[in-house]
Amino acid sequence: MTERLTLEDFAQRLHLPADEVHAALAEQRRALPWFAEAVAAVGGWLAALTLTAAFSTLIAGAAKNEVALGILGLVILVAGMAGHRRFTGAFGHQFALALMLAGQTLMVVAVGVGSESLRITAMVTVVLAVVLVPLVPDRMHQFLTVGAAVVLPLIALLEAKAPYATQGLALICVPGGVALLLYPTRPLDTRPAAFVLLLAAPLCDAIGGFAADIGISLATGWGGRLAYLIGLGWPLALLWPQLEKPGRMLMLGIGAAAVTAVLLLPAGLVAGLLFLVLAYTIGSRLLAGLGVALEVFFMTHYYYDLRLDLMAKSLMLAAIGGVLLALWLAWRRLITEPQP
Amino acid sequence: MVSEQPVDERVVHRLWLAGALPRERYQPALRLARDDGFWRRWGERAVLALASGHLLAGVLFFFAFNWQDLTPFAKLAALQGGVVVAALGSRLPILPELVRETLLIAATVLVGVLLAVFGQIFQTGADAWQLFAAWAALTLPWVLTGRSAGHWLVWMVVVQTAVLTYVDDIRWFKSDDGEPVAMILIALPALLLLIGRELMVGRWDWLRPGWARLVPLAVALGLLFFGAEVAVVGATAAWTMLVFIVALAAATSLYSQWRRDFAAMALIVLLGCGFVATAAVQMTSFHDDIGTFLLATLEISLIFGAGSWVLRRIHRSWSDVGHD
Repeated sequence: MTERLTLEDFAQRLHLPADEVHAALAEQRRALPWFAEAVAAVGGWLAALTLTAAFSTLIAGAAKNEVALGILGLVILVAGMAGHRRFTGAFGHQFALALMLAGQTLMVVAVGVGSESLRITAMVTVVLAVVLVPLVPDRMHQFLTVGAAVVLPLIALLEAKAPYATQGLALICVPGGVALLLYPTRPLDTRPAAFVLLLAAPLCDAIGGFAADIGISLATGWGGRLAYLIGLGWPLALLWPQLEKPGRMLMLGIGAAAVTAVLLLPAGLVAGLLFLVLAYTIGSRLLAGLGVALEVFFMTHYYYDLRLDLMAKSLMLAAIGGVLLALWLAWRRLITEPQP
Repeated sequence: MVSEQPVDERVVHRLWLAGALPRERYQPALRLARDDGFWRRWGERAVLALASGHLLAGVLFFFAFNWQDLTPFAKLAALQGGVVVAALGSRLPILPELVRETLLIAATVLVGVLLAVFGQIFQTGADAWQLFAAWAALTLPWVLTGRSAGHWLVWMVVVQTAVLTYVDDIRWFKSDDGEPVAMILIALPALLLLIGRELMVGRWDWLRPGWARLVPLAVALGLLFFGAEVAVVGATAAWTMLVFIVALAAATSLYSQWRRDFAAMALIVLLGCGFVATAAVQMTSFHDDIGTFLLATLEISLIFGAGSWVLRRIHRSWSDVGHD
């Protein structure tokens, strides 16, 4: 078992003032655990939804037009933003967050109904994300707002039958997500946006897999392949200078396997691989969990999806298992065993 | 003690956001915080898990391809062979403990598959609940001797499925009066498992993991909650509400006094607030939609706001003295 680094050692080795480090983490130590926040979130979101339903019913009774709906959305959004700044408790915070999202949804719905154009509605979600993300320092809000700003334009592009545009979107999403994860910004924490950008392509593939007739995929064409090559190469390049000779040999093997994977495997499996490589590079267990989940999901789906009989699938599985077993032996020989 | 806090990438990120880490030291800080030993082991195990998963799936697919052509004897022999190999393997001292535990759980699962195939070949005509009950009874000795919380949870699922399929066969359990009783019956195995866990945790260390408490607690209270909700919404079988309230009160005193557990308390507060809010909204709903929605907003805000406040108080007071 490796000796874990303590905060004191960490501050000392990076020449950081210990009191500043402790002060920076003080607020986090007072915060409630996520499951206690979740209790407040359930109540806050239910309360916000019933309140929005009450106002929507009132507006629908008084004025049956989308302008009124849009104005109501804006009012609810502004009220939510004010509450978000004012409330310090977990319940109030979640209530305000749900109000903001309800307000945004009403505004987008009003634009969609009024314009009857998916393109204009998608543009509004992007504008809302650009304006609101810097104004609202909330990770869940950022995740959902950026998520909407990626999903709606994607649907609009698919509706417009513009495959090159979706490839372009893949080229923005994958390297963009990797960049935001490896080089985070401040004071605005853009990690939630990074997760949205990284998850966009595999989620599209998952939905496209369930509804093959829709044919959603961000990453099956050349743009997607290139996006994943950049995405995989970036963290591996960061790891390279830290490795000794055996590690570099293994890295070359992994790099060659990654290029082969990008060229041959379905995009979902490559996305899982990207999450695993990122997890290993920055030491994130969350990314590791997501990577494993994506691998298992797309592996199952891949073999189910192929028009092959069970015997052929069995042989393919066994062959890939054999290759992975060889990689495991190489890992033990080159990485694990030389360690004291 | 603050200085004892372990450092990981989340701590580095928080320091970065708080401005306590200069830009040029972000990557070195990430490298420093990364537990190399853990990630080396993780990488090795991840590759091994993927390799063995593929190989095992390949074997399963092979049998699936040839299944129709196998004789009944060969089918039963293959499954029984699997049970024997897994059970014997779980007793091999040269294997790591985790592998041995997994093998015994696999043996338990294979017994269920064997019973299903046996029923298929000989057309026993048994009800589904009998299969699950036999499965649970046959594997009980392994569960008792296995010393694994994971094994107990798998067995609990089998027993609960037996109860579920039993109540599904009886028409009365589908009536307004019977439905809440069915919920309570299905909750019983988890409840008994939880009581057993709390009584024996001092003696058996393998029962100590937090999830070995939280999973049966969530299943038992969740099912009792749904039974009570059915009673609230349908205005029938009011006694099931009483059962839920008594269970909630018992769990509250257990996990706030004797075995302090904040995660368990959060679950209890969530279900308690959900129950009270449903009852309040149900009692005060009237035909005016706007009025009903506004009143519901007020009720939900008050109830969940109070629940959230209680949790914050508990967290603050337990943080000062420390808890399980």
